Amino acid sequence: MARRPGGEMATRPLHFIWIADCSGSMASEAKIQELNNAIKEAIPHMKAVADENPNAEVLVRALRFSSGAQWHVPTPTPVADFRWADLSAGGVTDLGRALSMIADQLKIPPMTDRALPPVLVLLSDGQPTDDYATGLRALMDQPWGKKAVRVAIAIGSDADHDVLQQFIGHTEIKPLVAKNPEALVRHIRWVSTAVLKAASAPASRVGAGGSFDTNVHIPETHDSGPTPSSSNDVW
Amino acid sequence: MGEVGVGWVGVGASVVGASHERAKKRNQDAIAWYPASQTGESLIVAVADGHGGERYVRSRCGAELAVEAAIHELRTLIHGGVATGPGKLSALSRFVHEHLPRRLCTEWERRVASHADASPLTEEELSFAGSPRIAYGCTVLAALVSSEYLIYLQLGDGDILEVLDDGSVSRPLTLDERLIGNETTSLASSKPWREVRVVFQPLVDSPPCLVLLSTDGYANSFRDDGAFLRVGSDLVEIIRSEGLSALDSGLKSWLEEASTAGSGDDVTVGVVWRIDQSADDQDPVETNSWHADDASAGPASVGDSPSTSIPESPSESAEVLDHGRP
Repeated sequence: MARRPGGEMATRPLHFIWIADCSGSMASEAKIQELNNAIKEAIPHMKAVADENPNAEVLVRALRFSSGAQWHVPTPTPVADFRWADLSAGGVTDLGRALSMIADQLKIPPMTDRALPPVLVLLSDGQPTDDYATGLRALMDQPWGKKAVRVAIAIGSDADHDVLQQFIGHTEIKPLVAKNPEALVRHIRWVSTAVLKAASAPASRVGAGGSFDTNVHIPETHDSGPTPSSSNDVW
Repeated sequence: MGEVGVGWVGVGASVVGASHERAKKRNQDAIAWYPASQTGESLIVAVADGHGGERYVRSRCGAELAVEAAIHELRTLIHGGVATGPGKLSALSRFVHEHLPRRLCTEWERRVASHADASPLTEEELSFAGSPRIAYGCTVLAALVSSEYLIYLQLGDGDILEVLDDGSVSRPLTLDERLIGNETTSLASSKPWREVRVVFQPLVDSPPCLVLLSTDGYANSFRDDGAFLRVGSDLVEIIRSEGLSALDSGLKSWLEEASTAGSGDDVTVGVVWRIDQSADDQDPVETNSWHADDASAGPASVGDSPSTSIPESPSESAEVLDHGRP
């Protein structure tokens, strides 16, 4: 048989980015350490999901923000090779700076037009201290920013749900709320598995022309939105 | 030697996506040809890609209806249904740009309505889709190649490539930059004819030696656009060195490899190859022909995917027997 026509083949990249609030308040009641533990625990499950969907190349990164923002894992890392170094907390909450840096990475290039919709997971326990709206606009100005699957986890009782909802950009999807370590683990596990799985095999969707809608069907969770206080809440 | 005329022969294949096989989903693509022999002085190929998401509960059928509709509309042009005589090309160009998009979309909607009448959507299907048009949602691409002109049309994602005799590859329709991340325009869109892109190309100089249509699962299987465009020039090389039979026998497995190693999506490709024929003896000239053995056999069914059979006479109803897919 004649050789296959065409150049090199490749699976489709799926960029998964943790956007973690490392402000000073995250140091209280060990929230930052619980965040570290939850992400570390989620890694094997992300690998399992990636193994089930070999046509999506899951590439993981992490950005931390407090006073300014820095890449914690700057290089898109195949999930099989992804390792988590603990984050520490201190400083303010420069969410706008973080979103601007994410926006830069979602431009084409370095993104390509054959990628799968990226997954952006924002974790925060408080209110932004910089101009977050400009950063959010920069993100949404990018086609890949608009098409990204954006989920948010509100850590504790002081998180700004309005800001998180604006980041999500879909009224029917609410921020996940974690008022204790168990809930944080559960939410991080969910975004690392169910959401990742949905993003790994999106169907075509009618859209184009500026729609904010993502074509990834995010599975339902009954664990989002404001919840009444319970005795398990420590944050 | 008499004047050399132009003829065309087509080879196509459609494979279910590797990820769809894992999820036990069926191939949502379709491909169709006119005439059924896939060869002639004029040839039409159409491919379509059903959306496959949970709303698009009948998009596999929608894709079948889309290729039928494209063939139905384009074949009237072959049989002089739009224009003949002096000024024909200008009239055809106007028709293609001003009327063909709406006619295609209307014909598809008519077929969808007819199918839904005969087999009404269930309550469950309607709860997902909201309307029949959405339920059957799909893209469509088509090419009409003849001795005088070429017509390309596209609604939604997918690719059309032209390869010239020197091996250079181009897209007759520019990419729609909005279509990333599996988002696409569609026959299910509101006023879909506004999204149909068309090209009418009178053949002044040498026509392309190869035209390729593919659903987006194929291009998405390559590392970048350059790697995908190489398919065009490589196919020309393969056909010239090993004959059309090499394309015929290899295409299905190449598409399976693409889906497995690349996108995981359904992959459908239609290839049209130019045959230069001498008016004296009707035998294909050597430089751009397939082998005599292949010519007598015709472009046989590809692997497990028999070609779509469209009746040749315009007076017959366009009854599509199958759509070239497993």
